[in-house]
Amino acid sequence: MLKTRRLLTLAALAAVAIFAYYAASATPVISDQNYTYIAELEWYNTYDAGAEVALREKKPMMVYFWTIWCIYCEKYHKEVFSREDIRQILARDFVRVAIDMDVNKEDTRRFNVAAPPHVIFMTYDGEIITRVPGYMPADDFKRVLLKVKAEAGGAGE
Amino acid sequence: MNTGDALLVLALLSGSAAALLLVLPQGRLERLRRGSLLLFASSLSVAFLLLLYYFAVSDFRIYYVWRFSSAAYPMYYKLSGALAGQEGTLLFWAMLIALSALYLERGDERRFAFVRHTQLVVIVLGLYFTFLTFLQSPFTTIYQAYPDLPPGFMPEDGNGLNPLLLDPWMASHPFTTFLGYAGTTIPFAGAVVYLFTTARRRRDDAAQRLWVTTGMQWLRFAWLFSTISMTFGGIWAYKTLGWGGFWAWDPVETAMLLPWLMLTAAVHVTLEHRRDSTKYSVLAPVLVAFSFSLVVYATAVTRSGIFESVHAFIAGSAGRYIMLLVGISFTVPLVLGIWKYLRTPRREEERGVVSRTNIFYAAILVFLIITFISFYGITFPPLMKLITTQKYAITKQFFNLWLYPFFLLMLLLIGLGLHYTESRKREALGAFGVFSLITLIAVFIKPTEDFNIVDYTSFISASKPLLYATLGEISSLSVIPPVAYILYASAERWQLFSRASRRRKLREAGVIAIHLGVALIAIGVVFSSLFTSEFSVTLNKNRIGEEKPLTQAEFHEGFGRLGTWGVHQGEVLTDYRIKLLDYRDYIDYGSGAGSSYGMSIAEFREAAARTPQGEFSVQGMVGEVLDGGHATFVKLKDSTGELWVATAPGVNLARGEVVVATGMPLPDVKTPEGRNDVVLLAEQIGDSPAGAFRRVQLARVAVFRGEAKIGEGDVKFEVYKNGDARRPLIDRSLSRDVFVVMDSPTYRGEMSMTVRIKPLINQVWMGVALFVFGILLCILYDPGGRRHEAS
Repeated sequence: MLKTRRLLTLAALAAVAIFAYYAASATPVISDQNYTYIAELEWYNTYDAGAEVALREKKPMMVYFWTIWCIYCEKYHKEVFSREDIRQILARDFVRVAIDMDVNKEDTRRFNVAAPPHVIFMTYDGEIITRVPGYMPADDFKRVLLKVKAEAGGAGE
Repeated sequence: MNTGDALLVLALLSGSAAALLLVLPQGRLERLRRGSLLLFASSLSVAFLLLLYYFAVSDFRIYYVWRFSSAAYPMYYKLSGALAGQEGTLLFWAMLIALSALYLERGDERRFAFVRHTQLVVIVLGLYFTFLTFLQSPFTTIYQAYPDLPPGFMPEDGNGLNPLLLDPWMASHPFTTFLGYAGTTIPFAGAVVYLFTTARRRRDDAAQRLWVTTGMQWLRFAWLFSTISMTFGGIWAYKTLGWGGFWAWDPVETAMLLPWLMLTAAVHVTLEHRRDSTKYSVLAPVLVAFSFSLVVYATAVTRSGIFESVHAFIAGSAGRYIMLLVGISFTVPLVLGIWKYLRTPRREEERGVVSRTNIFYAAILVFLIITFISFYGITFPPLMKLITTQKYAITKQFFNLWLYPFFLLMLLLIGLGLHYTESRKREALGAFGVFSLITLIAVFIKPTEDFNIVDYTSFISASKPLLYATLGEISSLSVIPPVAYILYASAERWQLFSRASRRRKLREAGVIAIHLGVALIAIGVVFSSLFTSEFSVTLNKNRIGEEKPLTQAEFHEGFGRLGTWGVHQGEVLTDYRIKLLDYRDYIDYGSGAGSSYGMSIAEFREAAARTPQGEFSVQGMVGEVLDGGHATFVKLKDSTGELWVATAPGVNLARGEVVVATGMPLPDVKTPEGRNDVVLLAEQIGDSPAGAFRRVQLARVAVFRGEAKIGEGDVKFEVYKNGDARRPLIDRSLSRDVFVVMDSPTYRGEMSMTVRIKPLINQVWMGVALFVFGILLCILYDPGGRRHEAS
């Protein structure tokens, strides 16, 4: 006689096992000790780490405040930072810092950021050029990047 | 030691005495035992009342009060501060558990060893929470917290709650949450004692009967309050967090869902067990006990600091002990359950693959899978982070994608469960087959890509594996057939009870209401999340009456050295418009009105007319600052009027700042606007120390579609001394909400707003209301204890 309930139990356990295996292997790593990985770029996890590099390389800094549960951050990652032209500007001309507001409370407090997403652009020596609170669509964001780049060069001399 | 801590020590001592005396043979020192128990519960209750009192009178010498309250708050928010942090909630929880222990004193059921043992477990848990409260006492004074403070120092005002929490829904949220949480204590204790007793002795009729009767109502009580508290949290998130969503799969939200899911499974299994005590005699008590374990786990997620979330701003430090309790509360029922399972003789399964029992069992399994996926989603990332220091990204898409298929299956099984009786087996199975088939077809019907249940291209997975792509492509229309099935099955089920007694009918109405509630929630959740239209628009506060079309474009504004910019992008015209009806900017003094910081402008005008020689302090918000060369003119505003203040040149004030100006009135002076008016000649003008509760920018807007007005109301941006809060306009109707939120404070007269049209969102709240109503009917008309016949 078929033991229906035992079979059901086994089916459920199998479903759970498949889920656990599949989910574990497909879940992407978003950050490790030193870097955060957004738009296939490496971002420093702390302001201090980025500031050091910015000072050395004399490049402006983009400090991006985000969290995993923030909907507009995700939109930034998908529609703005990953767009090829923007990605190139970010990779070439900026020192990138991604502050996970859930983890790095220190920098969040230091720059008085209330809610993600929030971007602060700075000169290489740490002077704030502008803040972009909230989301900004790709074309506008690119314009800001270029403007900041020009501005930072002027301020850096 | 202060009074509060002394009460906690008293509770620890009396609680320990009550527990020890309970172990003695019954009858010995009975009065002393009762007395100790009463003292245990009452000292905790008095301690909690004392904490409420400290909040009510704003005694900022208490560190906890200082952290979470402010003198300007209305009484409601002052009191809600008592549950704003870990210390207060632990005290509240300990108190509720002690009161539960006292509840078990009633009636003559104490003659059963089962009840006394259950009581013992409850008291021990109560002691544990009292100990946690004592570790991190809410009664710590600021002098203890900051030993460097000069003695006798009295803070002028408290730090205050995060302004986002200043909301009636949020103020009630922790209260309902902990009522629900505490409600799982007696069921847990009863289940553990029952497992232990019956595993050891195999047969204990009293335990057999009592654990269900004592447990059932408490389970429903916990279930009821968990439902209510999650809903309050959801409504708050919808209103306050700005993105207009009510659920984000944030770790704390998800953690709270876990005990709710487990409670739901436990209630169902326990009902089956009550019907036939040989069924689920292991699974029922284990699931009941796990509801409590998951409650403790949820607390650990919120408070331990291991997990990261929106709620993390209230993290505390008793986390280690809470984690310990998580371990114990999972292990004990699990071990006892296995022990009992091994000692219980196998029972014969009834014949046939399809039976009520099997359908029921399948539904429970699906429920447990849903619970496991949710558990995994919040546990895996922090666990991996501890092990590998790498952070894994589990986002809301992960949950939506994995849970949706099981959610559909569960809805279909609910339909079958409601419809099925042994006498109409064929009919029920036929309907199940038909609806399942339609569901399967609906999975593939997609008018546009917007119907995809999940946007699987987002960073749910780096590699976008096939399974994810497949699941993500499921059409959201697939939720409609199972919901229709539940409606149909409910109607069919109701007919069975047309001749039943009134009481029986009401209970059955409760059962049906609960499941119809689920159906309504399912529709609301899926469609409101997927079909929200969103627009961005900028209005100018000086152009009242102006209308702007809402285009499907994004506009953004930045500020800083580069000035403002704003770009419209790819304007897609829609037939939506927004109109600015009015704009106001004012200061709200809250309950601190008329405080010593300064009079209002109207009061000043009156007083200046009476005693022109006097010196006055006026509080207001800086409207304009004009440099007149030999003097600076500052225009102050408040809700009672406007006033020009003349002061020394070169004063540095920003618009919007709340200041107090002190000086003499000068009647009949020509103001910078060219009118003759009274002007305050201020010797000093500076920051208002604390008086104002908040500064409010209020825009009254109306939203139109075509010629029809679909929404109207106030959109506010509030600035508090410790942060900002956006208070959106939510104009509700049966078919949709019109949601308008001010993105940031007015800048150079411009207000950037986001407008959302959210369809079917109110079906979610209506579904919850139906659900809650159903549980209440069940609590009232099925108090338990009676065996109830099969449907």
